[in-house]
Amino acid sequence: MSSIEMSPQVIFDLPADHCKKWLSEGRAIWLKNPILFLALSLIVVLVRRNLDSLTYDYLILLSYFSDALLFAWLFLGLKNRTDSRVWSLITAGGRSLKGRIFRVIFTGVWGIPAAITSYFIFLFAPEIIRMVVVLNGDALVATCLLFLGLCLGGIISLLLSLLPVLAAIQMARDPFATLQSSGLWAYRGVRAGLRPVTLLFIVLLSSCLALNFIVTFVIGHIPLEALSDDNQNWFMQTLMESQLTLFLVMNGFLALLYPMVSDLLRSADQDLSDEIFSDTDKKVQGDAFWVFVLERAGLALRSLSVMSVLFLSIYAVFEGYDQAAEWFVYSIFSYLWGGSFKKSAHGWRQGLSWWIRYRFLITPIAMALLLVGFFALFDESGDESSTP
Amino acid sequence: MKPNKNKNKICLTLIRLIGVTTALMLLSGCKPATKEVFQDSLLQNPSFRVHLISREISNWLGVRSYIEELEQHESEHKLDIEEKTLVRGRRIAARIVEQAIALYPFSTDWDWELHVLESDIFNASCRSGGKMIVNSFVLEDGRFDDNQVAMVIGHEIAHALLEHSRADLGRLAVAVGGGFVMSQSFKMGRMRWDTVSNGIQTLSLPIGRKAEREADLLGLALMTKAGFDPVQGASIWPDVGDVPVGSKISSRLELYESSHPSDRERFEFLSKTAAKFEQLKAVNK
Repeated sequence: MSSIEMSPQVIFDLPADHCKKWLSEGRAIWLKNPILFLALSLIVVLVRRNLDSLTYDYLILLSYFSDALLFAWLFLGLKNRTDSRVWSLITAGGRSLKGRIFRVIFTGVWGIPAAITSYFIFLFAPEIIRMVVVLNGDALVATCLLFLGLCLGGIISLLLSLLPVLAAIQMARDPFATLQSSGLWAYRGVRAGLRPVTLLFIVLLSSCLALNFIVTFVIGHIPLEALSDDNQNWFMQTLMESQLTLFLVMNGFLALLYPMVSDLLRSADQDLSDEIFSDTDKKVQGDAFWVFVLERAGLALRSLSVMSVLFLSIYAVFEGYDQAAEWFVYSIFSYLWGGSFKKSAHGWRQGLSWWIRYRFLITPIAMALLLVGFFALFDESGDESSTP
Repeated sequence: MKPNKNKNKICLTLIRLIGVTTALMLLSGCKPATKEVFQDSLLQNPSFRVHLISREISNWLGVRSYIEELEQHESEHKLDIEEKTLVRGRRIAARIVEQAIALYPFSTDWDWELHVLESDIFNASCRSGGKMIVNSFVLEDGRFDDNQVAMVIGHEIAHALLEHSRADLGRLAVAVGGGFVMSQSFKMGRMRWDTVSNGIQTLSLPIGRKAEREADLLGLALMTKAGFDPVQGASIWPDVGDVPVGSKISSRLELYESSHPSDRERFEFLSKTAAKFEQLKAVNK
C-alpha cells in the first residue's frame, strides 16, 4: 500500500442558521407522517429501554446497530419514496438497502469509539473539578465549572453520537463506501455542521427541560385517588425517568434526521467530492481517516496519562499512597495504550503487518491479562498469609 | 440644532438615571426584611418556589416511605426502645408541633407521629405529613438536654413545614429527568448516566445548603416559641461537630460535596440568631 499523506481538513462550514431550516423542514416532515414517526420513536425508545435495563450496562451499545438500520431505512425511505404514503416510504427504504443491510448495521461500530470517548469525558470531568476544589477550595467556582463541564460533555456527546448515524446513512447511500470511508464522511459531515448541530443541541436540551417541566407538573398533580400504595415505586420511576419526554424528544430527532443528515452529508460530498477523490481512492482516503482517528486517540490517552500523574501527585500530597498508587496504575496503563495507538497509526500509514496495525487492540488485552494474573497471584498469597 | 440634540441627550441620560435609581429603590423596598428578625409573618414566607408536585402527593410519598422504613426497622427489632426515651422525644416534639400548627395551619390535618430508632448515629428526620424518626443517640439520657433535642426536632419539623422535600422532588424530577432523556438520546447507558446524575445532584447542593439554613432558622424560632432556650439549643453544634471529617481531601471537598453547611457556620449563625431571639423574648415579656 502506498504511504498516506492526506490529513483530513474541513473546507466547508455550515452556518448556524441551518438549524432554523432543519427545524422548519423537520416540522413539515413530521406533520406529513405523524403515525410513522410516533411508531418509529416508540420502537427506538423501547429497544433502548430494554437494552438499558438489562444486567450489563454496555448492552446499550447494541442499540448503535439497531439505530444504524432504522435511521438508514428512514433516511433512504424519505429520499427515494415515490408518493407520500407510509408504505411507499417503507418499501423505498427497503429497496435501497437491498444487499447492504448487514454492512449498514455493522457501520454502527463507529458508535463504540464515540461511546468510549463520551464515557471518559463524563468519568474524568467531575474528577478534574474535584481536584480544582482540592487545590483552590472554592465550591462556587467548582459548581459553575461542573455545570459548564456537563453542558460541554453533552455537546461533545451529541456530536459524537451523530457519527454512527451519518456513517450508516453514508454506507447505505454509497455503493462504493467502506467502513473507514463512511467514518470519514461522517466525521467531515459533523465537522462541517459543528455550529448548527451545537445550536440544535441547545434547542433540544431546552425543549427537553421545558417538556420535562410540563410532564413533571402533570404527573405531580395526578389525583391521589388514582394512586394506590403499591405503585409508589412506579410513580417515582415515572417522575425521574420520564419515558414520555424521551418519546417526544425522539420524535423531534427523527423528524430532524432527514434535513440535517442531507445537509451534513452534502457538505461532506462537496468536501470529498468525486472531482477530488475517485471511488477507487476511497480505500486510501478511508485508511487515512483511520490513521487520523488512531493518532488522535493516542494523543487523548497520553493526555489522560499526564492528568493521572497530576492526580497521583495531589493524592500523594493530601491523601496518602493508596489512592496515589491507583492513579499510578492508570497513568502507566493510559501511557502504554496511547503509545500502542500511535504505533498502530504508523503501521496503517506505512502499510505494515497486521501485528503492528492492530497493536491498539492487542496491547490493552495483554495488559489486562497481565493485571488479572498479577491480582490472582496477589490474592492467592494474601489468602495463604491469612491462614492461621 | 446641535444644542437641542445635546439637550435631548442629557434629558435621556437623566431619565435613564432616574429610572435606574427608582428601580433600585423599589427593589431595595422589595427586599425581604432580614431573616435574623423573629417575626411570625416572615417565617410564613420562605423563598419563592414553583411547586411541580402537589402537596397531597408529596405527603403521600412521605407517609409511604415512613411506613416502609418503619416496617424495615421493626423487622430488625430496632424500634424496641426504652419507654422513657420514647416519651421524652414525644413530649418535646408535641410542644414544637403545637407551635408548628399555629404558624402553618395546613399542617393541622397531618397525623403527627414520632418513633425512636435504636442507633449510635446523630440523625433525625421529619417527612411531609408529620412523620418523624429520631435516633436514640439524640434522645438517650445525659447526652443532650431538652433544649438541644428541641433544636434538632425543631429543625426537622421546619424542613417538613417549608416543604423542602416537595420542592426537591420537583426540581430533581425536571433536572435529573431531563438529564435522563439526554443520556438515553446519546445512548450513554446506566454507566455514564450515574455520573451525569451525580453531577446534576451536586449542582443542586447549594440549594440544599440554603434549605438547611432556612430550616435552622425556623427550627430555632419554633423551639423558642415552644418555650425552650434558643441559646442552649444552638450549643448542640459544637458537641456534634467534633466528628472527624476524614482525610485532607475529604475535608477540602466538604463544602463542595456536602448537602449541609459546615458545623462551624451553623453554630455561628444559630448562636447569633439565638441571642437575638432571647433578647426579643425578654422585650415581649
